[in-house]
Parts: sequence; C-alpha cells; structure tokens
Amino acid sequence: MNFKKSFKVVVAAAAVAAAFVSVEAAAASANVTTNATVVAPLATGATTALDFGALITDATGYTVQVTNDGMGAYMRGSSATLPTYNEGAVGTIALSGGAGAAYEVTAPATVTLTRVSGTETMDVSAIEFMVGYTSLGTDSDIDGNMEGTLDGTGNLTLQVGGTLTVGANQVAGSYTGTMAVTVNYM
Amino acid sequence: MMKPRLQWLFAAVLALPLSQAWAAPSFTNTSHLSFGKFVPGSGGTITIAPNGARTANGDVLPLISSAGSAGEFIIAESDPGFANQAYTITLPSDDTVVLSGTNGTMAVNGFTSSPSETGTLSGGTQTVTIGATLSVSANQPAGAYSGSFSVIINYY
Repeated sequence: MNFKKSFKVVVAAAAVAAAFVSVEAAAASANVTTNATVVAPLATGATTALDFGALITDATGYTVQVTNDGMGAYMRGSSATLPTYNEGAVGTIALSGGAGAAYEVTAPATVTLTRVSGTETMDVSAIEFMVGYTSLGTDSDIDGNMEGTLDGTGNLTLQVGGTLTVGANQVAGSYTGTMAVTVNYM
Repeated sequence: MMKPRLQWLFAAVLALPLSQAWAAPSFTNTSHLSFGKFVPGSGGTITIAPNGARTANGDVLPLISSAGSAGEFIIAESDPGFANQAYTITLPSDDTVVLSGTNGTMAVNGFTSSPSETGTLSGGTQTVTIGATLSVSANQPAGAYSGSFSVIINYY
C-alpha cells in the first residue's frame, strides 16, 4: 500500500517530462542563404571617330556604309565607286564597369554632319554598335535598345558603324558631327 | 513479484515522449534571399519584400538585369498528427546578419516574412517567404557578397 502511492508520483513526473520534450522537438530552424552583387559604376573611356573616309561626289548621290566585316576589320560598302585611299574606320568607345554586367546603348536615329566652314550637311543613319565581329543589333524588348554584356574583366570596346547619305553633287569639303551615345546598365 | 511489473510501466511512459522528439518538421531552402545587382553610388538601402518586390533608397541604383528575390523555404511535417499545426516564426534580430564579400561587408536588417509572425500548416506543409533590408555604403567595393541566416519555427 505504501509502495503503490509512491508509484503514482513517479508517473506524474514522467508526464510533465513528456510535454516538455514535445515542445522542444517542434522548435527547429531553417537556414536560408542570402546574397547581393555590387557592381562598379559604368564609365566610358577613350573614343575614336567613326570615319567614312574619302568620297567622290557624283550627280545622283549614294550611300556609304561603314561596318564590321565579320572578320575583325571594318569595311566600307557603297553602290558608288570609292577611292581606295583613306577608307575610313569604325568608331570606338571604351567602356569599363562591372564584370559580366548587362548594358544597353542608346544613340540618335540620325546624326547630321556639317561641312567645315560651310552650311551643307549629310546625314548618318542606321547607326549600329558592334563588339568584335558581332553586331549588337536591336533587342526585341520593348525599348528596342541595343544590348550586350561587359566581359569578364568589366571592360569592352564598342565599335560604332553607320550609313552616310551623300547627296547629288554634294559640295566638296570636310564634314563633321557629334554623336551622343548613352550606355546604361540594365 | 510486484516490483518488476512496476519498472516496466515506467519505461512505457518514458518511451512516448522520446518518439515525439523525432517528429520535427524538415525545411527546404528553395530560394536565396537575393538583393540582386546594383551600383552603390553614395550609398543607401535595398529592400526585398516577402513577395520579392525590390525597392532602393538613397543613391543605390538597382540593375534590372538582376532583380533579386525573396528568400523562400518550405516546411514539411511528416507526422499526420501535426498536419494543421500552428507555428510561430522567429526572424533574425537586427545587427546579427552580415553579407561578406572579398573586400567588404554589408548588414542585413529589418527581416520580414509571409506569413508574418505566425502560420498554420496545411496538409503538413507551408511555404514561407522572407524579405529584409540591405545597407550599402558609399563606394561599397564591387563584387559578390553572401551570407546565411536562420529562421526558427516553433509549434504552439
């Protein structure tokens, strides 16, 4: 009889322990990884001019395109016969920023060249940007901007080409203009 | 004669809580809490909401090419007895989580979650998403930063 009484006490103690254990068992922690990438500011460096080279005027006018030839050099093409000296060059823009960062380029649809010491003009249109042998083209997203990515060192040389329209009996001389190119991260 | 039988009863009572100790939920981290790519400028903050929306304050410029994401993990409870269990979520305190990169660190504070504070399992499972605010210094060194944090789930 005496013994049975002490048994009940033992059972009650065990029940308290059970409740305590079950609460502790349900507490558990989930580990979640977290990350961020800081990208260096985008900067433009040295530029060289987009040069259409020496041209000869004619009575009907024509267009001249300067672009990448797909083999590591620029090419100049036209329906007209062009002189073989001073064949021009694609323009270049040096970019530096975050390694592998995506960027987009915006440029005007048309750039007007004006004769030095004169008022006559010629327009450059179909402006395109190239990296190496590859044209950036026009991306299919809604803004239609040309897009690409910086290389693994965060540096890149953008090449710029375009098409110059030479008017009928275009007045001879040197023509120059400025193209404002904006490069933004995306 | 009576003494051995008593010892057996005691052992049976003790065995019950021990089996419950193994009925803890499991967690699968299904998405990083990612703040994405950004340019630090003169500094500021980037906040990811539990729904994944990213907002920047100050001079920080977030890049759309890497928009970040909310952290996400799935609670899975295999014990049918806990299929609709209510639980509390304990998020990291401020000043306890830091992202480390090669050339610097950034603090992560202001943790938020969905569901917020408490939740209830449905069929033994639930997805929890986590947001927070990242502090970015002026001219924060460029590079990848990473870290981890713990979220405590407690049945009640």
